[in-house]
Amino acid sequence: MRYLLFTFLLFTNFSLFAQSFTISGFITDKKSGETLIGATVTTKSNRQHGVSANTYGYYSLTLAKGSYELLFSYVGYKEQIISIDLTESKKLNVIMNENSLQLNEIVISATRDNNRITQSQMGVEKLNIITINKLPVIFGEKDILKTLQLLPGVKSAGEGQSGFTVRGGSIDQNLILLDDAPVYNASHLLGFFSTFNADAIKDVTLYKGTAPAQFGGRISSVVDIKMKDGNNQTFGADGSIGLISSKLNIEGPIQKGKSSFLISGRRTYADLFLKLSDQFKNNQLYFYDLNTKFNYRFSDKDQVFVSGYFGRDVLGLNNRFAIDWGNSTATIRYNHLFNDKLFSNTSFIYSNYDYNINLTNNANPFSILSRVRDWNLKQEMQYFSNNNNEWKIGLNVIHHTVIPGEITDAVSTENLSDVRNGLESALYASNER
Amino acid sequence: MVLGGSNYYILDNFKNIIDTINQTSPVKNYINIEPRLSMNYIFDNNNSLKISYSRNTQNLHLINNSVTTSPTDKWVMNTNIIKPEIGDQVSLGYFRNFKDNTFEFSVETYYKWMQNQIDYKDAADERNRVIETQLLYGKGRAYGVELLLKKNKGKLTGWIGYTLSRTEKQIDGVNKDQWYPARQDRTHDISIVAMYDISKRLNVSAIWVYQTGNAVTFPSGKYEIAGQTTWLYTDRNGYRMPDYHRLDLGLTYKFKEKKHFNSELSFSLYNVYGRENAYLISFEQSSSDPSKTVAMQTSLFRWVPSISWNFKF
Repeated sequence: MRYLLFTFLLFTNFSLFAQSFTISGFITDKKSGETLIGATVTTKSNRQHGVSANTYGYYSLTLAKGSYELLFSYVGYKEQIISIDLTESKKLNVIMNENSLQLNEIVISATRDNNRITQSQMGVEKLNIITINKLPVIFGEKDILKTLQLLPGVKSAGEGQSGFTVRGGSIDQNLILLDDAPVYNASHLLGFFSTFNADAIKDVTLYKGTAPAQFGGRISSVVDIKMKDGNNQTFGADGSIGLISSKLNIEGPIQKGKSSFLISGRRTYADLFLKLSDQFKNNQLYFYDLNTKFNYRFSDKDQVFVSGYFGRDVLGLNNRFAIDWGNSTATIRYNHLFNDKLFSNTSFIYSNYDYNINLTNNANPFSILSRVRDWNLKQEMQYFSNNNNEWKIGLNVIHHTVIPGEITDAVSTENLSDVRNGLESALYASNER
Repeated sequence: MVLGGSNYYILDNFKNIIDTINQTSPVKNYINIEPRLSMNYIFDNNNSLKISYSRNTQNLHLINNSVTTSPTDKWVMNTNIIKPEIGDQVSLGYFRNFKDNTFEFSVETYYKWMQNQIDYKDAADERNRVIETQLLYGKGRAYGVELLLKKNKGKLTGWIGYTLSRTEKQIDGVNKDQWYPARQDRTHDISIVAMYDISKRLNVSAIWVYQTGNAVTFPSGKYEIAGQTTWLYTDRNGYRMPDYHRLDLGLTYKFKEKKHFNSELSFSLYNVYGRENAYLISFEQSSSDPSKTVAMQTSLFRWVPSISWNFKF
């Protein structure tokens, strides 16, 4: 299986400059040091002409020699105007302040006020974490996937389910990525909770129409979920205590302003109530999950991110029958700036989903294991050319293994069905103007 | 690329295994090109028209035979028999912002063709060792219109979304080879989301959703063999679950901010008016009169209240 993916996102103004220079850098939040994905940079005189920060908060804007007032904006943040005299290429890291005046006035979409008008893509929905936090949800656990289901074209698979269908596709036709790693089963407790702990999430984007070229492998939609990097300014903790679940999130700097970590855990305890009843006291039903991430900046040009997720659900009936299932993912990413216009990212990704059924009450106890496992390598080069035309070229190679059912008893292990291996490779190029 | 090293099968027209392949070299190589194109015509700062086309392919497939999802649903990969799914979508949209970007309005329409769609054959044995012997392949199509009106600023924010859509499948060997509604086909889908800041500390929110019920397969008759009642299924997805609707309310109170500690209390009530939405409908023989059949509806949640305390330091 080999693909060539192409996105040609045509449009807008062409202008070629006689002598031009590049301003580039990272855009971050003042309090936490988190990069602001999608923050925009324009010149004050021409707000149509601009660029936005990439997934790692990096921007690169090329302009003709001259004096400019640059306008940095991001929803929920104070606009920042920086005057520059452009006589050479410059590094300009920008730190933005949350708009405290509007703290209780929420803005629920996009990154720039009229982004929905000006961006060439459609069928793209970006979810703001503030919105997710404010909406009522079942069992009081805020949930990214259930909030997505409230958008047109996205439908819930059933009562309380975190499974969803997009524009008539089936549930498996959605590619759900957590820090680049595919998540094969995004449900906890048979769908009443989603796999994603909203406290550890920074950014959620749903593509229900044409997804950018770097995404492939599912025919209906892409849900691109980015974990927080962790606060690189101060230590902090937050969490919540609820009727059936609690969670705790700890983050802080490893080296102030340079590197940080985040650890976020969740556990439900509905099963504690089961213990109180005579009928169900030998039953179990719970899940837990853990998100961890840390990043380290070696130099202005090199940064490494390591992130991981581990979650497990357990359902047990009277010590006779038990099933447990869960996802685990790991992503290692390395960013390198070759020059101020050429950004490279290399990702090495692991994803695993498995379930185990244990039958222990008969004479010959046995268990059945089923698994889907991916090893994945991605390399992407992003080039910001002179007329602020953005190019991406990439390679993606995934090795899949599917074990449909492996039955183990006291004496032997046998496969109920054939184990399959596959290699999926993609080469892509895209251009956005 | 489908890698070798395990058994692959060759089936005849009646899905009987006639040969087995076991080789170490790759068994099959599928090559697909996925062109994608988006264009935007910007009338002015507040108006634009967009058109896009994309092709996507899929090499891993989840095979599921029931109404709900389960952790034990089966993932299968492409094989020499199971081909990659291919989806082509064209969409057209008009976007408009009002009142200094306070309101966003959009209409998007789409049409999607899907090839190599997979479904179980009638009376499939899901535990068969060679899953290919239980599967059928066909086409799908989906089309619809999505309307969205969003209010982004002010004390009251939120959105109203409406989708009118249809999703159908055509698989040789199912429903006399005719087009039929897919399980996820929902004609109407409405979501209303509102958030209101009463004061700096107190905000309330509400969600109302309405959906046409899923297309489902119900028995259309029953017969008795050796004293055992067997249901007779004629049309796949030939019936509809009842319409689904629900209102949820939420309230969040922020306690006074301290220098290093903030906290808030959140209350929510799920399914406020306690509608018994059907989760499952099953059929049983009436106990009083075995010749009659009763449909039993299972509903999950009526009035689920919850409370949580969120903190940050």
